[in-house]
Amino acid sequence: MSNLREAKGYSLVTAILPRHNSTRVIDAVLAQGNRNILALNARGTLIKERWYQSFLPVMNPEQEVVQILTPESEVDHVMRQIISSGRLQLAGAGAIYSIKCDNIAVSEGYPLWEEQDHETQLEEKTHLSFKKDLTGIFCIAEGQMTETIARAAVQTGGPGPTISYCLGRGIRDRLLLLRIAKSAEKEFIQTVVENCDADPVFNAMANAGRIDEPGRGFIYRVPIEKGLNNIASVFGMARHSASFQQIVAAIDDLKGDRHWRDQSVLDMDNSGGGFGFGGGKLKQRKYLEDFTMLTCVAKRTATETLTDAALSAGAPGVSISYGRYIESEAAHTSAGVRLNRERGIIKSVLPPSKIGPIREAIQRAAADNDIDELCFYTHPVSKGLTYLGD
Amino acid sequence: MSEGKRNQSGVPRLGLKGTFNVLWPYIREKFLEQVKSIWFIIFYLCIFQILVLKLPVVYAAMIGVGIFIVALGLMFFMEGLRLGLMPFGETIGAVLPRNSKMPIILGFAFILGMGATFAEPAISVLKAAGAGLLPNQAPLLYSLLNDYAGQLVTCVGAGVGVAVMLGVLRFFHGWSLKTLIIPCVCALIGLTLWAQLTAGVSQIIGLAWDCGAVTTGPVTVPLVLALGIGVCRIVGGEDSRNAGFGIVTLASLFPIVAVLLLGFYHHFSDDYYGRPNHPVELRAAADAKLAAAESSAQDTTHGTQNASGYSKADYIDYKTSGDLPDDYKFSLVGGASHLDENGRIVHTNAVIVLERASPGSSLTPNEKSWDPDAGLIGGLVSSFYGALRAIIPLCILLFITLRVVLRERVRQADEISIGILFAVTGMTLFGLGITLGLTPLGEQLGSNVPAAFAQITPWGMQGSTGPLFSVGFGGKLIAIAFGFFLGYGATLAEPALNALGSTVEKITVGAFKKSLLMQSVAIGVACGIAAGVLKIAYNIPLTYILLPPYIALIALTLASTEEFVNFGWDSAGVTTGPITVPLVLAMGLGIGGNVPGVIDGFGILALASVGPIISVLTVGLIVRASSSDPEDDLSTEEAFDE
Repeated sequence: MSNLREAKGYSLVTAILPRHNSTRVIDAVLAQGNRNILALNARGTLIKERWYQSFLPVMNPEQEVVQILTPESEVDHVMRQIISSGRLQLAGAGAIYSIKCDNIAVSEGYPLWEEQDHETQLEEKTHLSFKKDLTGIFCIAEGQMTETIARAAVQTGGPGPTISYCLGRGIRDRLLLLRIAKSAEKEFIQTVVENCDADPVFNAMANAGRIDEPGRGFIYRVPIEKGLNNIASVFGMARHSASFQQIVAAIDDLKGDRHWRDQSVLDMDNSGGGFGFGGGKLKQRKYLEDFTMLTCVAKRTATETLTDAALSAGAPGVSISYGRYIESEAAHTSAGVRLNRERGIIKSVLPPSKIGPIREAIQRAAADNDIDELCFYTHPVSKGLTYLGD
Repeated sequence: MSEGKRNQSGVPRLGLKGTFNVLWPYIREKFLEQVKSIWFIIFYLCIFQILVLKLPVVYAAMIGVGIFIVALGLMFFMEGLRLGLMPFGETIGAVLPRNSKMPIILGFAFILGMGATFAEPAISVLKAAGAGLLPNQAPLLYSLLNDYAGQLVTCVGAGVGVAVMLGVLRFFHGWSLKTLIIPCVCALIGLTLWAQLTAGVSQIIGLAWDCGAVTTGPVTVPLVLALGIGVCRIVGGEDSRNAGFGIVTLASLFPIVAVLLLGFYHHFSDDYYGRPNHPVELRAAADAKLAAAESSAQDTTHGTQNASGYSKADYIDYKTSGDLPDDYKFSLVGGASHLDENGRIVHTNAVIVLERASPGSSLTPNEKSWDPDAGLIGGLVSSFYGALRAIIPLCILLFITLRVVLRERVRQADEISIGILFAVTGMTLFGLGITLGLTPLGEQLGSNVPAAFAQITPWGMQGSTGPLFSVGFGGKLIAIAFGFFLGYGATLAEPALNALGSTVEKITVGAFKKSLLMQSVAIGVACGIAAGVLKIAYNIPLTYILLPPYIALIALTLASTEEFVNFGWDSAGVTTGPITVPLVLAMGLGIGGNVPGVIDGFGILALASVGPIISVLTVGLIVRASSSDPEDDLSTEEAFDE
């Protein structure tokens, strides 16, 4: 299948928005011509500050993760537009970041954002600069572990992790019918931290989730081009005059940076791990370094076929998440309600040498099954950790 | 990478031990999950029987085995839902809106709703509540349950069919659930008031509201939920993402309207028992039943007179053998007594009367640990047929729609087949377990609870006991408290509510936890059932106790967010399932039988479904008030900026 259009110079812009203003943001972005957005449901982390809160009915905040694949020249404009429509500059309002893609390849039928001309009004109106020294930490784990991992992330200085559902595939599919005994449902945790916080947060999350044990999951780091993280991590009671995140933001402002939040001094991870209890040797972790994330976006109905192809071509494990694909020129029902298309997002972290063969295998499967809409993109993964066998 | 190569060679050879290692944690986890959901109700019932009523549990071994089978059955059934029924329904829901025209979609929805009602054995359960009913006590109610039972089921089915249709239509138009509920509830309140004021029709209010509560069972709910979720994945803007719910709500409101209208129809055409247009052959059957009931009633009154004293047989026994009965207490009537010089009390010229010692101590508990009438094989076969009837026709309908109408391949066919197999196995075991374990336990308790305020013959025993409290009020309070905890425990064990809880958790990506929903629903049901016991214990007309909460609900619904309106109203339809219904009916009939003037056990289920709506909506309002709202932060900050 040779009709894929290769392109360079694209970035993946991801915004994490609270449920109550995601509609406003999506509408604002869609209003700018023929555009498309991939939206996934998610939930924020809720830390109960006081013991009695565990007896109160509290709900985790609902969030929405919005992903846009956009040409580099558009990135600033889109991000500013999302920030101004979602008022992300306010403390506790949400997060946005962009990841530079190595290369992307799309099929004929797949709509891609084209470069447009914009008036520069927005830049003047929202006079803010993006942070450059950010790292994204992503983790796939079993549902019952995510709360622990998210808590560990918050306690080491990572702002409120966002959790969404995904399907983990790999070992499960090799069990034939016995696979019913293993739930495919996993949870996907993402958080964006300052570079200086990245190591402690990464290690704390890996420890909390015991990621280096067999079958626990996968954690990896991705360098972020630029972004802004104002996500709320602690949802306390409403009777304070200023919320927790407002106070933190105020101290950030006074200090001029966020290094005061750096808690790596307290991190025991590198100091020998305990005081002689147990006496077992400290296991040296083996990290995966300089890997690449291959992402493939296709129709939801096609994801299963494509996943099977990727797995049989030698991908050790993949994760699949489903999202609503919102287009500005979508089909409508007779009553005028938008008919959305669903997309499946297939992700796999691979050594660079394997990207080519697996992509080809997926393309072949797509050609054999008449799957016409396909989009691949890759971006680097700086560090990863999972169970690698003894 | 090395780990990639090791795994890519295809199927790993697990061997027997490996297979066991994969399966065992899975089975253990799923089984313990079910044990966790049913332990409370079982433990509570046994403790109540033994410690409060001070009675032993009859058929203890059989009940124990039955409860184990219930847990096993629930485990299979829930896995069957997860693997088979729900993915199947969701696939159809997601494919339907794109590939077919509106009339086909609506037609499918109608048939699904109708079929689900016929498949679920719920309506036959309701007949039990009217089992002891005589034609002359409540002629219209009797006629609906017996002469026109077919019409009743069809009406309920049509009500559910229209509800599913409307529910699906709602997704396409993006209507708010509130705009559908409020007119519907207003109409219901009006109809109920009219029925209350129309002599003759007021008898069927309890039946009508209970029909609404009972129609949505453990197969229909997950299927309909999955269908709605599938449709909503495709249709709708950003605001409708919590939809997918709401069909169950409509499916529990519409049948009430349908049954009330059916009642009015028969009222105005004057063709029920005792009316001129009542068909002759039906009247003959009713009269025969009446005559049989009267003769047996005479027998029982004859029997109960002797229950607390000695019978003729005892007397003859005493005369012939000359032995005194074991449990006598004697008293002296008449004569005079004096203290003689030896320090003895001497009683002269008295009549010696032998009486049974006391009603309580004359109790001879049933020593058998297994009910000889309960056939294991027969129960297995009949619950197997019940399970087949509930699951297979619906699956065939879904399969045909998917293959013939939509021309789609069934994905993961092996997993779905296993799921359906699990669901059938689970329902079979579940049904058997209920017959062996839960029903005998529930019936015992239900009929023994009135011992708190009346003298009764305990279930499965000889002799009589009670009242434990001399004041009627205290005893009835105990019965009401019993109803409260019974409702709480039974609700936590309901499979359909478990399925709804998991679905809510999944749809909100874990933001709304299953345990929060289930606890609020259980407390709501508990209050509802306590109110139901109150209704029966004091014979209050259902209308007076049912309408005020519904009027309050309209206000609550208006104040709540769309999301909670969806969860709250849906959970109401879900709560009354195969575990709650037999327990609650047994209790209602038991208590009603000891209160003069109560002729049927209807109405408790209707109250049990209004409770959870109120509690879930209230929890929703509390959640909104107690968690900090980011919007408030925004508005305060804006105020600073300006």
